[in-house]
Amino acid sequence: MIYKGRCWKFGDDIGIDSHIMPLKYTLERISDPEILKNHVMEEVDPEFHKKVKPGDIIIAGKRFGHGNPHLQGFLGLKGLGLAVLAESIPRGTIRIAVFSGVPMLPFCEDITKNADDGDYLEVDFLNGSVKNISKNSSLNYEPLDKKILEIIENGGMKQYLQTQIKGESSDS
Amino acid sequence: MGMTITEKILSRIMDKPVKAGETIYPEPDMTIVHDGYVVPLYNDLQNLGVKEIINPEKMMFVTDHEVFPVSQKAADKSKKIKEIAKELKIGKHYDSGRGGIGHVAPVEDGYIKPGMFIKAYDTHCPNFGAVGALAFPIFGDVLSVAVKGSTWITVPETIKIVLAGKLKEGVTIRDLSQYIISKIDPEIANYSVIEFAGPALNEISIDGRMTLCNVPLEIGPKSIIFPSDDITKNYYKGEIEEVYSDEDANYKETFQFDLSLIKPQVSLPSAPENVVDVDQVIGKNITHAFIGSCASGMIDDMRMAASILKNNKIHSDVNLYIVPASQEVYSKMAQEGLVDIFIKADSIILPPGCGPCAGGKIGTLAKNEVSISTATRNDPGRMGGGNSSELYLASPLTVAASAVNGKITNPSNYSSRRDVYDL
Repeated sequence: MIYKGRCWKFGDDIGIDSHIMPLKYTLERISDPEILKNHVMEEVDPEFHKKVKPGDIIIAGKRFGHGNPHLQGFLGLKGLGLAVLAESIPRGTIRIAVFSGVPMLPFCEDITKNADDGDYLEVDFLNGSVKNISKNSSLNYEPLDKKILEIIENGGMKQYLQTQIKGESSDS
Repeated sequence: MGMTITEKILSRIMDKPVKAGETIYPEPDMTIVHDGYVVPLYNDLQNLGVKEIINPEKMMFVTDHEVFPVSQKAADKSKKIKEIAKELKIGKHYDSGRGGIGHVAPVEDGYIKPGMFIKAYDTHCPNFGAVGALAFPIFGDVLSVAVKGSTWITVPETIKIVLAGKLKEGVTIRDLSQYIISKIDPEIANYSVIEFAGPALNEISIDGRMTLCNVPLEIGPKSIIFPSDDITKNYYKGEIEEVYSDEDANYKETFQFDLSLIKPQVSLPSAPENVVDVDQVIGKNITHAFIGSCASGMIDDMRMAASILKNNKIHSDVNLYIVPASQEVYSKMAQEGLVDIFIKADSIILPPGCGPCAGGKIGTLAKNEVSISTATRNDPGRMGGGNSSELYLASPLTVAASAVNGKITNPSNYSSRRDVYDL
């Protein structure tokens, strides 16, 4: 699970409802990534979804996605094909990111000091290695547990369960 | 090395010793889903081709977010939930008018017992820690529990909060809870289970413990739990599985609070942990007030509110919504004469459930309106009114006193009758 793309850098305390996705889409219970992707970070930058490309990587400071862990923000990130490296991500948020199938490294100490907006990065989410091609530097962080990575590799919880159900029926 | 309550409960479930940091797939004793997620869960099951879920008898549906349908959409959803509960053979469905908030009613009705392990769709399920049950919010992973019987959990570390001293007149457990989250770094609270300890626990009721298991969730702990003591045993009126940590259990960090030093607290817009002493915001005009929620909608909270509202009328500019957390709380309010006090004070009693706190579908704020409430969170728009609404959070005493005055008020300076409520 290797992502190569542009770094989009944010600071600390990017809130799930306040920044990543306007709360109204949660209250309307919209869950289609294709709709949600057009509203990611729109309260920070209304054009954000047009600027990013699949494979790009969000770099964030502490408490990325804090607040009531509503699913919509990460389903939007999944729709855009983005991944996240953050100095910390609250636990409830990690769960919804896994559910949505967004690759992440949630324990990247000081990552915001080691990458700038616009840098070109190469990240392996299975072993936690981060190469900053623009700065010619490399870093290593703790990856997620294998049991969790398995879900993300399948594209999220629904796809993972689909694979398991298929596996069971072909076994029998 | 000894074990924390969390490690003990999860070791029982896994039938082998587990330690903080391990990622495991523990099967819950019960899984609870609220009305906002039942239909999406059903649709996901349909898409996966799953007709029968694993252990439906251990699954509970609770209609608490939209108890009182005020739209065609809500009424249709309410009907659909009843049909899904029957089709999937769900063990227990608390329909409208039956239970109340899913973090309170199942405790009152004896479904939740000390030592149990519960997974739930909702953030605030760790209320069950008040009676020594370990509850983890798992959100959409309920789908995995329905299909596979479990979902992944990384065993959290535990932090200990030691409480000593006595609260002053006009200061409540809600104030203590808000004070605590303003003093603990969310980075430390994150990923942890909070375990309460200390001499002050002897004077904190199960209702107060629910508040303490609820408000601190806003800074990111995985769960919160109380050890078993005489208050727990008296609550269950009989034998319980006692839960406690070993003396040599490993704590990530320990905090101590002296209750006698705490003043009434107010959370400013727009974060629950953005807390100041009430004195710093006294005089701020408010027109919307709400007493209720899974944090502060228990009978203790209603008694506190009534102590201020008795023989008083709320300010003519203010609408005050009172929302009992459960049918049981509502029934006690009626028996104790609190309903009459609230009616005569010109407040509006809404049906038991989440009330305005679940997205403002009832008791909604107008645009640009300022509210003070005992809700769980104060993100703009949480109770309607969009981004222009301003939400302050405080204790039932502070909210009631502010509703009477039409502006944020320190309840310590107000005529509250201590004898009407008992912390």
